[in-house]
Amino acid sequence: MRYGMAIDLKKCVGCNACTVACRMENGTPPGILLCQVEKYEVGTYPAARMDFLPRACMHCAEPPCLEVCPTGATYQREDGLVLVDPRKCMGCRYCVLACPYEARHPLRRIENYYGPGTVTPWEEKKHKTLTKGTVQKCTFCAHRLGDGRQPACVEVCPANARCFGDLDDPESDVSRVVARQGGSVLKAELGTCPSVYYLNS
Amino acid sequence: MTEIKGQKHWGWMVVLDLFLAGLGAGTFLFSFVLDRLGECPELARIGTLIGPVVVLLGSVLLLLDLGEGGHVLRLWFHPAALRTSWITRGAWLQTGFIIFGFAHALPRFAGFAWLPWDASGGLGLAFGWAAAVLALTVPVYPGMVLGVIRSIPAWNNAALPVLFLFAGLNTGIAVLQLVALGVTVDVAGLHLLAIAGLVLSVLLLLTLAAYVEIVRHTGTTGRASARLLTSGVFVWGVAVAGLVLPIVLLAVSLASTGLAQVRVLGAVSAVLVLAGGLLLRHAVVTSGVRMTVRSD
Ligand code: SF4
Ligand code: SF4
Repeated sequence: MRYGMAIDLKKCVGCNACTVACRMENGTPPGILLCQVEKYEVGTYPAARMDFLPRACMHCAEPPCLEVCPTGATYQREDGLVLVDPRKCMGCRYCVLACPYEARHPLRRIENYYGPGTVTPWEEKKHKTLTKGTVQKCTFCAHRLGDGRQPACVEVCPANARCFGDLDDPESDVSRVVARQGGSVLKAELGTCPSVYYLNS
Repeated sequence: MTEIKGQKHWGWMVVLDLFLAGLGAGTFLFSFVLDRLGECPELARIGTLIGPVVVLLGSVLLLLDLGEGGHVLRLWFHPAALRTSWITRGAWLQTGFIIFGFAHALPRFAGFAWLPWDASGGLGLAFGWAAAVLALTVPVYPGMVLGVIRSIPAWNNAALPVLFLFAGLNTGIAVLQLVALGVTVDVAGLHLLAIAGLVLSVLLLLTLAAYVEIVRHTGTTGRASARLLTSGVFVWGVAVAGLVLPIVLLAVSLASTGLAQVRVLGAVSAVLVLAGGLLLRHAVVTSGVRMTVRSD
């Protein structure tokens, strides 16, 4: 079993619903976006246009973040998920530098969105799950997968641009869509073997 | 055009550790060599102690910066990471150096006569050799820590460990030249240090030029790093003041036989080498530009 995702760049409209859903799901403080949509310009005037690249952790099969971690805090599950154990992470930020996809974020402070002293009930609940001084990253919503649910970003996408499932199962939706449309991965030359495929890139 | 920015995750504390690790290891190594050659015994005695003290200080600074609470201890209690992580390997190498370095140096200092071995006896000497071998690895490992990061092309460069080795050893000589101002030394011993410093400075200058040239030709991100790297501070501070001037000063000192003159020329060169060494580590760490996620 290897969890993976396919993101159709032709369908993505850059609305950032996934960014917001991820923030809500994980209660990340201001400044930390585990899932984000990069906007960039292609072409030149007058034929220039905006394109979007939604990205988060690629849950690489050969993750450089795992290789460099000196404490064993970063680990890879049987199902391919690359996670951080906050009880072991010493916050050295080596993995943050080693990740070629800027998918790791040091959690130096846990701030409230509306400033000091104005913690919302949701933040109060979610901040209990964060550990200051460690590193945060997308978990493919591991806590939801156990309940048979999809990652928050997949569920919320209004354009249906994301498809999630088991890459080892040739019958899964994600495997089929990648096989049919020939997905590509980012920075394949680095040999990280990402589990996130981009379609129509 | 967007502004080029080096990585911001590692800063001055890491720079200081890279600097102090190389400096301490270099100081020990050359003190041990002087001791083995029977030159400047007092300088050698003090130098063998300065080495592990400085490396210990650098390690403490690094752990304060990089380590959160008690999790830092996992650096030593998670040996499985030795298979892949250069931070873990470095922690073990530095710890080994500090232990063997102290074990070799301390018996020669007041208050440690109770130790059941002496520095020049069989066991003390074995500790010294072990520390000397590790002292060769301590300046190199930071180059490996940075060197394995593929997402920063300026660091992912085989010249970096060599650069850090030469820079570390060179600053070690500089420390001894400064200590020589206050202890009994002779011209022959100082000339030995000057020759070593001269050779290392030339090697360092060549490696540095090669490093910058390779970085410049490592894709667009590498070129961006090279632009940050070769600022005025780098050219005038690291290359000219930190290497070319010391080469001249040390060459002049080699032509002189007056102890006072050799001492002063060595000390001036040492200050320049130390400042240049620190600026070099700072330049390398802060010019590490990451590849953009989309392309390079
Ligand atoms: S994308 Fe980055 S954080 Fe995620 S597994 Fe790959 S290297 Fe690790
Ligand atoms: S910050 Fe934490 S997870 Fe990342 S390398 Fe350091 S110890 Fe490992």
